[in-house]
Amino acid sequence: MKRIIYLSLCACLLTSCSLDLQPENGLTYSNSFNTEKELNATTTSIQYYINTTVGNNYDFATAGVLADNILDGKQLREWNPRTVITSEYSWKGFYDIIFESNLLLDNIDRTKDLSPERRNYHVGQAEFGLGLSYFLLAQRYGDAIITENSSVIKPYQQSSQEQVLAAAIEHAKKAYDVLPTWDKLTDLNGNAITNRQTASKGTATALLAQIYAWKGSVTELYHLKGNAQEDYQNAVKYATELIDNKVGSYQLCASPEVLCTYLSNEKSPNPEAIFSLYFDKTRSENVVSPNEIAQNYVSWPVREDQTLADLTSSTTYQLYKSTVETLFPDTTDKRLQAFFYQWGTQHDVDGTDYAIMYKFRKAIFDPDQYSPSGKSYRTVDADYVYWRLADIYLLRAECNQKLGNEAQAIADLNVIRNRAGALSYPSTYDTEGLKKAIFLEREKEFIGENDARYADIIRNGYVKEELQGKFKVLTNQDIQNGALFLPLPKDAWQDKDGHVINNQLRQKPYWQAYN
Amino acid sequence: MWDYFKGDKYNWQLLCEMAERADLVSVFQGTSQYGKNFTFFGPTSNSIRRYLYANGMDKVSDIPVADCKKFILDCLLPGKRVMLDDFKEGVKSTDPSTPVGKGGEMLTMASGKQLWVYSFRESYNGVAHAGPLQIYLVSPSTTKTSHVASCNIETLTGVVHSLDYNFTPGDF
Repeated sequence: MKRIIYLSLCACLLTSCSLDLQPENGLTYSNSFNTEKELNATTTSIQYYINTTVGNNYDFATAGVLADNILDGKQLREWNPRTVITSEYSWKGFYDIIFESNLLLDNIDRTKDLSPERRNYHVGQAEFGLGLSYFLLAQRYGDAIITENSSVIKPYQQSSQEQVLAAAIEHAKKAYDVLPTWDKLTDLNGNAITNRQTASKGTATALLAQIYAWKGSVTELYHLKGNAQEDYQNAVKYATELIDNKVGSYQLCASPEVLCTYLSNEKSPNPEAIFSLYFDKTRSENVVSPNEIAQNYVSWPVREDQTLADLTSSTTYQLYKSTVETLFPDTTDKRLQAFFYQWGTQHDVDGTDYAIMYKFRKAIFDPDQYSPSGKSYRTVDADYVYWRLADIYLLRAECNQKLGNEAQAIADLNVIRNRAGALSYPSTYDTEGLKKAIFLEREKEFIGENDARYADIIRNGYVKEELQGKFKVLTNQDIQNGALFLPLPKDAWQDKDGHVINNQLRQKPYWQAYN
Repeated sequence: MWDYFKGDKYNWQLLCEMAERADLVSVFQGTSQYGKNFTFFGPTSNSIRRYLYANGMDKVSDIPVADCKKFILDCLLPGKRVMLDDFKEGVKSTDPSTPVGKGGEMLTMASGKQLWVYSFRESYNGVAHAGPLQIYLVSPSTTKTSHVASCNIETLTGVVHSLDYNFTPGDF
């Protein structure tokens, strides 16, 4: 009997209690991913950082945008090395996206009761965030850091362009595999998501097409290891999926006029937009549109508090009518009437005739009793449509032309020409060949809308002819040494007091001379 | 008014040279058809210098006589002395189709040119209507707004309101 009691006592002592304490008054990684609502906070962070970082491309926008006179950043536009080195640029925004995405992926397994579709949604947002960030890092900085995950903090070494682009492709492909098409996107309450910033299968496909087109071009430009032709084939493949509506339904707007009404947020959602940075008007009363390019072109009459004469002193990017006439020699092109205010009427300021940008037609004003006009201008009312279907058509045409498939390239070019009501290629105005015609079509289509021109110029090798200032005299050695990329940002290897925190990083050889 | 201009070389010397060239000295002396009670919105020497530089000229005698006459008569409001408080208050235009806003008054200058003139009381330290009263002239043809820097300069033959240094002849 004693033995039985003794044995049962021992058995009782062999049970254990759980020593895992959940902190009840603090947020830690172990207790803040339990429900989907908590997980969603990280997903929203990824979206917020994408929204505030991707559109911020001041240096390359100033250098590449099509304008005759700019009010601000003239030396930067000429790529004066000392101006570039001291200007404002940082890759912190991208690493915020990367951190939040890695955080989500590292901790999603803690979330209970997550259905497979919801898991795919969240994983897709994180993988898209990673793919997009690594792509833009490779595009703007060349060599960048690939972090292991969200918890290891150490002085990382830089990875080469090829490695960063490979990482971008890997994550973009994962996003492509798990995300649904845009019409099936729902938030955690089951409501449909209508903004085009949230990643869908189509967004990931567009990202893949862009990465491959860029990768092929830089493989040739920088003599990297890789097969440029294969990259172009892949770009064509993904572009075709988008155009054939296999990864979501996207259509070109019926005409340039209709396109402008969608771009000006008068109707929504834009059927042609694949990836847009959403203008979140509810964020605060001071929020401005993420499209800084559109903001910089805006003038009278969209600025109701100004007159035409104020254009020369307040509009940052100014276009002469003669430049637009040279860009659009074909007068049947409906884009002239749609993109420019009262095309055909003279808009003379101090003896020069200006073209008035009219793609973005609505502005937001705050009532202001102190201002002479009773209202003060805050921002243009527009999302930043980063990639739209016309971009994909022209990207496919560009890659096909590089592969030698001229017939397919011409077909795509003509789709855009026909939508614009212009003469098909080849017309009497197409005097510089197919490659240049496709590049000029991109200029015409996206003028005053986004910052893509710099990247378009790099992909096509038009640095010396289309850019200005020091770009025209860069030697091949300068380009190989990183002149076309931004320098390594100071906050990557120094803290705010100037102490070196990462001694594994090296400035690019071209910029080393100006450090 | 002519003696006043002659007395302040820094601000008015080039205007005097223009008046001499266009044979309009008598206007400022009060012996012309415009009499002794008119209002003059004066372009200063800095403004005229900017005009010379923008047009590749070196001195006032390079400006054609007809232009000198036009620039001076564009700024002359005949009939009466209009002081700061006599200008009608107005608000800048918020309608992009016209540069003319609410209030103010359309005035016809001696050359026949019409200008929309209004006064507006600015804010001070964030308080509306607590600041100075400013005079603005808007030209419907060039849509430019010009601002008066110093007003109510009373002379024996009329009132001068000097246009600020940012004005360029031809803005009207």
